[in-house]
Amino acid sequence: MGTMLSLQKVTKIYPGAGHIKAVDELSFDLEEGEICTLVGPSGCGKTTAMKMINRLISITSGKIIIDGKDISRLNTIELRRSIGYVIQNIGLFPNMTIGENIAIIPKLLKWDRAKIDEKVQRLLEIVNLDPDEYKDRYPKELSGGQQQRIGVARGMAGDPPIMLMDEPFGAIDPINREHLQNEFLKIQEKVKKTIVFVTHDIDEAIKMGDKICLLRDGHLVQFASPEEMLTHPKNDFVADFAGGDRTLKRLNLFTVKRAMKDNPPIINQDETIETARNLFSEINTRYLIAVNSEGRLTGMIDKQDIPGKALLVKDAVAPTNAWLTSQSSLKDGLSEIFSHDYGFLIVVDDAKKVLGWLHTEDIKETLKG
Amino acid sequence: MMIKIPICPECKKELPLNSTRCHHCSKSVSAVKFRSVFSWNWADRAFLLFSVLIFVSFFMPWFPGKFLSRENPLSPLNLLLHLVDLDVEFLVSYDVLRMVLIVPLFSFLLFLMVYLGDGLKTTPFPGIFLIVCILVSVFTFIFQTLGGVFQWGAAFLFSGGFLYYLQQCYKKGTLGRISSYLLFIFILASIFLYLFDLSIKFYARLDLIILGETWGFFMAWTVSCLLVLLAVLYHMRSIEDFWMVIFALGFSVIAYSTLVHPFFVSGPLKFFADNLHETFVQLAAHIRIVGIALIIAIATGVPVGIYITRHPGAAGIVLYISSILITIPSIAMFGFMMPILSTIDNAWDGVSGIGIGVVPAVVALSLYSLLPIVRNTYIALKSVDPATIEAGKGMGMTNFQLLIQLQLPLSAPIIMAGVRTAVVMGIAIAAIAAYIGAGGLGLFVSEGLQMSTNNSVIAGAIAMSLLAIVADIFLAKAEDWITPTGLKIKQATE
Repeated sequence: MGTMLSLQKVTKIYPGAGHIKAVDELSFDLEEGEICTLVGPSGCGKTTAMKMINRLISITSGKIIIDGKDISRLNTIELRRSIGYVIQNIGLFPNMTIGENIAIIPKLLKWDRAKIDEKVQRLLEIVNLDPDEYKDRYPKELSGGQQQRIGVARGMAGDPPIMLMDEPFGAIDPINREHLQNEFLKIQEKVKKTIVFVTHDIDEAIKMGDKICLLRDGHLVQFASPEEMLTHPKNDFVADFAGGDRTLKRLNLFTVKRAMKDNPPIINQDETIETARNLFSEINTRYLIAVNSEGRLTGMIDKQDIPGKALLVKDAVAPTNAWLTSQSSLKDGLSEIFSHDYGFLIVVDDAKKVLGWLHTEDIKETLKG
Repeated sequence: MMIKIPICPECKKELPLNSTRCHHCSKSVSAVKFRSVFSWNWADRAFLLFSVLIFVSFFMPWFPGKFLSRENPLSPLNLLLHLVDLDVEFLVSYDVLRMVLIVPLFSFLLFLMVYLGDGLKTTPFPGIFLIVCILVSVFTFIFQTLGGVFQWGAAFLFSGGFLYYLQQCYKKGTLGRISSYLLFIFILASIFLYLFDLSIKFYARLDLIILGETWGFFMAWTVSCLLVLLAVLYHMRSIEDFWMVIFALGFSVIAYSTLVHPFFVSGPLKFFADNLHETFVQLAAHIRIVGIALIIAIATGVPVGIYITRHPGAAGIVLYISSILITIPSIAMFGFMMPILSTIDNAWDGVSGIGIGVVPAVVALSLYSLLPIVRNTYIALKSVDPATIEAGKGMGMTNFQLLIQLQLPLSAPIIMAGVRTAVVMGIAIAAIAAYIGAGGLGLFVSEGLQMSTNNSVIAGAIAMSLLAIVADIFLAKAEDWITPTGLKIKQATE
């Protein structure tokens, strides 16, 4: 994986109004398949910086290099066709159907009909919209969230190695936004594009970005991975922008799997109660996690709540929902721990096989690093 | 009025017509019962009063004393004697034949509408409109002998009412539709009857007997009225039916006496009938002038509109100039054109004669049409969402591709609206072009004014109005057709 996109001392000065530098000597490198979120307060130059990459805005000085080629030497139109572009207002063409909208760039690139049809079909599947149902409908018939997915699909239609996204989820309500973000990350796992993602929302930047590029008044303040930016903010501005709760924000960056301990107190539910009682006293715990013979979670036994008539563990098991899959974020894990009385959380895999358990202490240790 | 109101057999409450389920007790209604109600409201009273007035006024010429006179050829006694004698010539000449045709046809139509047409039941009838109709018909009748303004006013008022009535019938299911068609055909048939056949002998005597011409119709109307009233009283299922029928009756009289009579007997339609060929020639000339001017205006206006969208500096100037152009009075504009084009003509070959006639008319009209077309193109292109354009640019579309694939399709309906304005305006202004020898329907007006023939003036005005209306309707359809499907769809609600 080599450097895909490289900005070298890129500067933009708008004529007039005191020659204020909208973007001042911005430099960073981006590896192939990485998402870089450009974030900062309004007027910090993040959108300007992004638009210089596909030359919607001209560069005053400096160089932008894509895949080893200086973009100032490329034909503007061809350059833009090789870069996916998704904007906040989506900008679907209302006079064209969904299928036609997605096919705009392939048509400009003069692909043949069959290839375009196949591409449209596949992209609609990728963004989770049924091609047969949606292909021939018009943008106005779709909800905002659906339109935004089409916008993303359209941006990817020309198979661009690089995509520029300007607050693509900005106009969508929080619930749908979260959903689209997750979906987009899933899509990104499949397609592995190099993405420059502009947002003003630090949470979104942390969630989406492999790298965060924090700008202020056109200057680059810090370019780092989310983890580093949250743990080692370069100065007070970064710390402020990341927010007082930046430690909590870091919880989003880790999975439950990373923090959990893999020695949970497990007992097979086919064992006798005697075995369970022995185990209780042996490891000095109040709860045991009951599993079946395949190791899948069936429930929990409370030491103080074993019915007198019970002979097997099975008879004493109470079902529980204090569990999460190992891919969940630590934030969800913490919240889940606090919503139950056990003091810990069971971590399972997709087949509900018990992998480990998680305490608040484990989280604390993970955050310490 | 005796009205039969359907009631639910279960809960004895009133039902809407043709309902299969009672909305009070929610039981399905198999055998609807009827309750007879004697209802007598202000509208009924007003109707009766006006009916009497109309009747009296219709038969006024027979009073007093002439009722049985043999000197009055139209007195019932005289008519009866002629019928007994089978005096065919008399019957034809006084339109008795038509009366004989009309009575059964009209009765049959109303019969269909009243109690076979089971759709025609639930219109909330605009009673006030009826009263106005009757009032105006009385006044029309009174002023008929004076002619002129009243007749024309009434004619236009009732042509509107007539269309409304047909539309009401049309909405009421198959039978209503059939009866509306039949009624329409009936009116048309009566027009053509006058135009081509019975009228020849009949009109020869018209000068002598003023009322003779409409007499047959009124007779028919009276008989139909009685027949229908009988039918109504026994079969009517709601008061709306009654009003509907009365409206039909009243309207047929009004339509006849105000539309058919003044138009065909002495009015502008007679002028058209007499000058059929000339009318079409001038219509074609009119359409040609407006059409060529429009093509020129679109071919220049749209590109100019596109240009000024991209060069905001030029926009102000261009729009200002075209605004000034449109304020020049048309007669002055034609005046300017003549010397300018003559100069060009002289410089060119001096014999083509473009200084007068069609050429200056077309040039002037295209200048007038420029403003609506340029302005609408400019506004339409400006109103395309900038975000969408930026998305297109960002995807690597050239300006031309953006224009063809996005901006023009989105602007087409607004540009078309500009074309509509230009056409309707052009048809009106082209009337003036007759004065510089360009021909067209304006010729009827200018000649009519010179020779003091009112019918020619009115005929020209009507023809141009109709042309403008038809052109507007046609262009509205075109506007709808040209609007991209994606824009017509309503926003999804989430």
